[in-house]
Amino acid sequence: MPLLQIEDLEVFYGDFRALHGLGLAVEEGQTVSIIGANGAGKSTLLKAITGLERQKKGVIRYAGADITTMRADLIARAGMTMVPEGRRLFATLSVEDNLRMGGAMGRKGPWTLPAIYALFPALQELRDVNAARLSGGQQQMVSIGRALMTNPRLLLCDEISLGLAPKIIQDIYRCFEAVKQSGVSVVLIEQNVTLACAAASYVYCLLEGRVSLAGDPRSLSMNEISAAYFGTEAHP
Amino acid sequence: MIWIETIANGIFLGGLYALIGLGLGFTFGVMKIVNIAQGDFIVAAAFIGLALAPWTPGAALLVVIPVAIIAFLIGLALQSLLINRVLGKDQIPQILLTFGIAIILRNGMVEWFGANSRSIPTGSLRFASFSVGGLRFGVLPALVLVIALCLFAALHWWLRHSRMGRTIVATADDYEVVQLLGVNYRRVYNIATGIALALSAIAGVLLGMRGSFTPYSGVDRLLIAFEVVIIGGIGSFWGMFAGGLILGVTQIVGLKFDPTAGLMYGHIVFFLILIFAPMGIAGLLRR
Amino acid sequence: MTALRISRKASRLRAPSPKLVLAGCGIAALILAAAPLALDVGDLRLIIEILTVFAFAQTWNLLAGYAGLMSFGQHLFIGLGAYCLFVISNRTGANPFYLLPVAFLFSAGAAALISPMVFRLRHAYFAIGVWVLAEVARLYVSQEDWLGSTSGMALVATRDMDHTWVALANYWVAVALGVVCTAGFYLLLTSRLGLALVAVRDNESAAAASGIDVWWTRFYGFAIASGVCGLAGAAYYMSVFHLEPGAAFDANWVVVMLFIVIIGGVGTIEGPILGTAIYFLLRGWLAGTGNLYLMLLGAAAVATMLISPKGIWGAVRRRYGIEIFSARRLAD
Repeated sequence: MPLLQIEDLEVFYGDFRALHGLGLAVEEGQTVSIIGANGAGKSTLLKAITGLERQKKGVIRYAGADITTMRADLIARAGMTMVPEGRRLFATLSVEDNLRMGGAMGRKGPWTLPAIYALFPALQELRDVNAARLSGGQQQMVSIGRALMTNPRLLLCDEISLGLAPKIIQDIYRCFEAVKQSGVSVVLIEQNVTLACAAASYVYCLLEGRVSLAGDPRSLSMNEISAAYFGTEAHP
Repeated sequence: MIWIETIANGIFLGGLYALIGLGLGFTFGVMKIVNIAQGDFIVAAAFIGLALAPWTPGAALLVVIPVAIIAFLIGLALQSLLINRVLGKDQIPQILLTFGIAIILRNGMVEWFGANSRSIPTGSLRFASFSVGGLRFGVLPALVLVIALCLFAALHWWLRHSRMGRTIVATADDYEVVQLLGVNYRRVYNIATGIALALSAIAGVLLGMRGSFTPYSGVDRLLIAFEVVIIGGIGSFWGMFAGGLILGVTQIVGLKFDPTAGLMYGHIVFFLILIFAPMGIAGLLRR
Repeated sequence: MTALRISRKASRLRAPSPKLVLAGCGIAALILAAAPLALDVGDLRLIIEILTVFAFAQTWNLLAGYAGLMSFGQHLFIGLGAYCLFVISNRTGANPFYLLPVAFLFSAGAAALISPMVFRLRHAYFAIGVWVLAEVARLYVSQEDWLGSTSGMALVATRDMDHTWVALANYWVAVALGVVCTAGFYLLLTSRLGLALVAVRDNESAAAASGIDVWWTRFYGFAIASGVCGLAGAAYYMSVFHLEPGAAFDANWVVVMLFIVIIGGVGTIEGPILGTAIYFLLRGWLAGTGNLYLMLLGAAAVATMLISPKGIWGAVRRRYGIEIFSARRLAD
């Protein structure tokens, strides 16, 4: 049985339907990427899974339990968390207090403060600095570190590369090797198709609230992917 | 000489005003909610203090402790049973809900206690005084200022250095993200409202000891609280304290000139500050 | 996408044509205007009160429901309008009925003057900011002898006029106010300014992006609503001949406005009509219970916010899709 399984998911904003009967699955230990253009419904999907978005229909199953109507904080306590788009650090807290907030609910696991500092050594010196003063890349590290501090079973990442320089993106993506080795399953939301395909063993492409393509990235051609991404016909 | 005494008395009163503003400012800072019923809760706390005063004969000031605990519990109930149900982007329901509660409270107090003016007895403390450099000051007003200062400092320290305090600050920053970390933000809100009402209750009891109150005093209390928060600059801790001092001094000096003016000069200073420093004292300092 | 959503919603609502609505208003006004033929003075008094209180509520609704400006200090303008009319009439001996437009201009002018200050405050802080000004006005008037200080003043000019004529004139003024606050507001809301007000309320930045000047739109909304509120205040106190600061600048006026608008349905023209009816029925039943009655008003506001934040009319509209004064329909 997959760790996360979604069937017929629909999300409404008023009369506007953002997701149309979407389905996908993530196996334990797997890294899955979800790609798609702006407005394809990627962020809506993550908000629905984590429970932040409550206007939804369909079934979301996590670790065997139906969590469709579960409150966001309880879902987090069950071991699923998210690195939100735009990092969203607690701006009045220091770096270390931001990380400590991740550990507040006390789930046991390998990710502790020393482990995070070992993963991102740059943060060690910045531990007492106010989080709002960091650079974009440093903030992203804190945001990932904060999510890891909850010791998740499943980690969802929303647009980690957005607005960062290529060199920094590389540095940050390197951390996922260690994350995977610790046994955490990962879902990456990306607009950057190359990054997404390189990091994952399975890719879903979203288009206008539906899955337009799914498969192992090594078996998909660039042509197929761009057709599914932009909603154009594939040129053989 | 008389002016030094007047200004000192204004500062004593101002500390209390700052405490009145703290509850409102804290609620807004954490939840972006303005509790219109805050003023009436302050008065209700004074009535509770009046009822409990006979239980602490030797040390009148100790009555603030049970009143604060009761107010904390009322705050938990208020937030979890009522305000949490109207949370959302639209602020109108929250404001109107608390406005409705204010009306119920105010008229309920008139119904139960009558409209007479009252004061919480403090025994010998009421007229005790001390002298510094030939000037005489009341012990109670000075004690009240010290208590206000201690509460400001304690809350400040607790928010930075305790786990719960950190959670409250984080929730104030981003109530969505804390949920991803397993925090039930509604529970945090309950506790924040409990703390806000406990602080307001302490202010209410102290105010009821220093002066008098009627069930209708809630409006004045709310307006003072509101002015303290705006003068200080919304979201600024020590700005609020300074705001309270400015209002207190203005009122005492104003009453010296014009004994029937009531809160008028305080209101006018508030508007002057709003015109010349719309971001409050904290905004001035930040520039 | 947004345009599509709105038009689909609008098509679900059944609304009569604007001409029919205005014609209905006209007929209702004519019946009301002719009513004195069949009623005695006591009834007229009650209707005057109902219509002026309705006008207070409707101006509050225009602010909170359409302009997105909730103010807890609108009693400021009731007092200003009334004092303006009483003072000028008593000083110059002028016929107070001719001074009604002056009361409107005075209140609207006062609102315009304080806007630069209070518009710096948002939401609840704006609401309380205007309230503070009302307090300042009350405290100031209570101190000034030329304004009658705490004991207030009586209207001199109407004493020597024919009493039946004064009662009738007061009545017709109130009817005219009622018309202004239904048909007039209806037309206002379907005008460019009305559409701009709603756009600013719904989404400030989107409104600004589509070329609406947010500040000035709010400014006009605030000035017009406060002006009409002052006019209604002048009409109300003219009909009771006596004025004092504690009553004119009484925050309980706002409690009444708020109750009527919330129970009826904020952001609809029908809501305050319904709310006014409920308010006066309740007041009739609970006459003499004093504070209990005010507590009930508060409880009703709390209950409405918990059950149906859009009030009774909002619930009716959602459930049955009925709408009489449809600003949306004209906008399409």
